[in-house]
Amino acid sequence: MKLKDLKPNQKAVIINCQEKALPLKLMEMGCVDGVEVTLLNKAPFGSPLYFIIGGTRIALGKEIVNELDVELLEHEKEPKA
Amino acid sequence: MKKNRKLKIALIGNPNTGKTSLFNKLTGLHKKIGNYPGITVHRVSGHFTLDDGTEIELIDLPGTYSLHPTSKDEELVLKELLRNREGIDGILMVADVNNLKRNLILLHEIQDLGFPVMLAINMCDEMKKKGIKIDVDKLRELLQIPVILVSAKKSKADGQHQGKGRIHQMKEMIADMFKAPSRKYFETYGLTGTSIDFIKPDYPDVPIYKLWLLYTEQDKFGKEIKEQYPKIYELPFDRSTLKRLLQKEVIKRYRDINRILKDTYRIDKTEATGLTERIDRILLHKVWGILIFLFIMFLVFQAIFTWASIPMDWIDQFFSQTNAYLKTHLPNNQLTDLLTDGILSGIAGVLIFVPQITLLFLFIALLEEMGYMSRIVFLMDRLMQPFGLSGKSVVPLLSGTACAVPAIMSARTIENDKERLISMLVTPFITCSARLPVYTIIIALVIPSKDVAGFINLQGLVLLALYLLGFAAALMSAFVLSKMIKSKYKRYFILEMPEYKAPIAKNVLITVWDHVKAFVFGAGKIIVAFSIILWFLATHGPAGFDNPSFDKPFQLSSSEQAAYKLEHSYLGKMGKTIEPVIKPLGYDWKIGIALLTSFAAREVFVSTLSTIYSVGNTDDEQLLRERMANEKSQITGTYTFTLAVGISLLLFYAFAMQCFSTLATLRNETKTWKWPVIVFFYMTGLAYLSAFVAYQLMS
Repeated sequence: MKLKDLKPNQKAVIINCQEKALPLKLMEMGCVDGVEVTLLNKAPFGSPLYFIIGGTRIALGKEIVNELDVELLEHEKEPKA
Repeated sequence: MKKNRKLKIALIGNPNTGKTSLFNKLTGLHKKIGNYPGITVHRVSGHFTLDDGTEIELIDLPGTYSLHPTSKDEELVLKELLRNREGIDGILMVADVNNLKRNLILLHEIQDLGFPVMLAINMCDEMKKKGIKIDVDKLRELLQIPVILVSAKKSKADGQHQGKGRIHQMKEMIADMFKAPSRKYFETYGLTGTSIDFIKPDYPDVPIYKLWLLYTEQDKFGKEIKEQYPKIYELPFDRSTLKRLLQKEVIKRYRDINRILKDTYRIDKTEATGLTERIDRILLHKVWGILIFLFIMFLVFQAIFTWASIPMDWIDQFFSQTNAYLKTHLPNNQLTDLLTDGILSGIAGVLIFVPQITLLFLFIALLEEMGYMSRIVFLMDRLMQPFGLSGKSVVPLLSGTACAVPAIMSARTIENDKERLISMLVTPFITCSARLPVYTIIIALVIPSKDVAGFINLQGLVLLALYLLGFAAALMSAFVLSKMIKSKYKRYFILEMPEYKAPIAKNVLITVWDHVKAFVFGAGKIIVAFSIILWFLATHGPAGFDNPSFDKPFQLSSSEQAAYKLEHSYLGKMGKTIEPVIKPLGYDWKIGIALLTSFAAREVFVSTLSTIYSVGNTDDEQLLRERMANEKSQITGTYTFTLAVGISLLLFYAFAMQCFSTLATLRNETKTWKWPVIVFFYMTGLAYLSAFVAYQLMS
C-alpha cells in the first residue's frame, strides 16, 4: 500500500524507498526502509499529511505520499531502524 | 605581542535546532545582516573573540538537512562550504538532542569535507523530560571531535562547571577543534570504483568527498568551479546511477551512526510526553485548527490596524508640533522649510511605520519561536500552492491590508526563495489602509448611497469589491509570476514540524529589533531622500511661481495662494505635462498633480486636492467633496468627477504602484532595484490599462 492510504494512528514501515524518484533529502531526514511511520493528521484541504517517521514529526505533500510504499505493522513486531 | 588570528567559522545545522539562539548567545548584538549576491537570502554574521585573542567571524548559514540541495537556501550552504576563496576555516555544528541521529548525518558529511568541526548538542534542558541520556565523553571519543551539551534557553552551566558558563566553554572548544586531527570517513563507503577514482590523482590535496560533491552536484556550480576543476566535467554523468550511489551512501552513513549512537545515546520512551502531538490534534484540526488560525490572523490584523494607530498618532503629533515649533522660532527662510517640511517630514514618514513593523514582528517572532509558523504552512499550503505561493504567504498577504511595508518584510520567514520573492512582489496589490481615504472620498462622490437587494449599501459593496479586486490581482499575478520565474528545483513538500516551545524573550526582541533596524536604516534612507525631492518639486518652481499678483492682480486668500503656488511649482508643471497621458483615463492636470503627490503616501491624494481646490483647512472633507462635485472641466465645461472618472480613479488606485516606501522596502529586501522597477511598471501599467478601458467604456 501507499503512504497516502494510511489511516490515522495506524503504524507501518517504509519499504522500497530507494526505488522511487524521490529527493535524497527524504532519506537524509530519516525516511529510509524499515523505519516506522504513523499518520497523525491530514491538513484541512487534504494535503499535506502529517506523520511521525522514525521519531521525527514531518509533513509530506501529495507528490511524496502518493509514491512511497509502506507495509502495515503487525502488533508484535517492533523493527527499529 | 601576539598577532591576532582571524578565523571564519560557519554555524551549521538542521532547521529548528535553535541555531539562531545559539548564534545570538555567542555574538550578542554584534551582528551584520547583508544579502548573498543575486538572491534574497540574508547573510547574517557576527564576531567574538577567543581567550587567546583569536577573532572569530561566525556566519549563520541557513538551516539545512543535507549537502544535496533541494532549494536555493540549501544550495547556498553547499556553495559556502565548497568555496576555495575566502572559504570557511571551521564548522560549529548545532544538533537537536531529540533528533541526534539525523543531525549526525550532516555532521558526518561535513567531517568528510575535511573541516575542523565541533558539535554542540542543543536543547539539553529537555533531556530529562524526554528520558534521553547521552554519554558525552564516549561520543567525543567515537566522533573524535569536541562535543558539548548546551541549552540556548539556560545560559548557566550545571553543577559541574559552576562559574564558567557553557558559552565560555564552547569558545574554548572552538580553539580545541583546530587542534584535533581531521578524519575522513568517505573512503570507506564503497564508492571507490566509481568514476571519481579517475580524477582523484589530478587533485591530490582536495578531500575526495569534496570532489564527489562537486561531481554529483555539478549542475549547481558556475564558471569559477568549472575552471578550477575542469576534469570533473569530463567524467560521464548519469543521474540515475548517481542517485543509487548517493542513496547507498546515506544508508551506509546511517549504519555507522547507529553504531556510534548505540553506545552513547539512550531514550526511555516511557518518559516521553508526546505533548506536541496532543497540541497538534487541536491546532491542526480540520475545523478548530482553521478557526484558531483565523483568530490569530485577526489578532495580528487588529494589532497592526488598530493598536498600532495609537503610537502612530503620537509620532504624527510629535512631528507636527516640532515642525510648528521650529517654524515659529527659526527664521522664515528656505533652510527652515527644508528642515521642517523636507527632512523632518521625511523622518516622520519613516518612523510612522515603526509601530506596525514592531507589532507585526512581535507576533511573527512569537509564532516562529513557539513553532506555530510551520503549522501555518501545513494548514494553508494546499490553498496557496496553486498560485505558486507558500502557506506562509498568508501572513504577508493579510498584513498587506494594513500596510505593504511591514507585510513585505514579513515574507522573510518563507523558506523557499521563489515563493518568498513572489510573495513580496504581489503584496502591494492588497488594499492597504492608505488607499482607504482615497476610496472613501471618490466612492462618496460618484457612487450613490442607495440600498441594493433591500439592505446592502451600494457604497459598501463597491468598497468590498475593491478589497476583493486587490486580493484577486495579487493571486493572479502570483500565478503568472510562478510560471515565469524559473526554479531549477522541483517543488517537494517536506516539512519538519518542530516541537512547541515557550518563546525565549531575548530571541523575540532581537528579531523585532533586527527588522526595525533594517527598515529604518535601509529603506528609511531612501524614503527620506524621496520625500525631500518631492518637497522640493512641490515648493519650488520657475521664477514668479509663488507670485500670483503677476497674472492675477486682485487679492487672493491664503488658500488660493497655496493653490496658485502648487499649480505653478515644478510638480504642478509635471502634472500639466502628463495631462495628455492621463487624459484618456478621464483625468485633468489637477488630478495629475494629486497622482504625483500620492507617491509620498496614497492618502496624500486627498490633501493635495484640498490644496488645489483651495479648501484651506485640509481636514474639511465635506467642503472638499462639495468643491469636487462642482468642479468643471476648463475645456468642455462639464463636471470633472463623473461616474466614469470615479471608477477609473478607483481602478487606478487599486492597481497602481504609487508608494515609494513600498518600493524602498522592496529594494531593501531584494537588494536590487530590478524588482521594484518591474513591480512599478507592471502595477502602474495594469492600473493604466484597466482605468483606460473602464473610462472609455463608461463615458
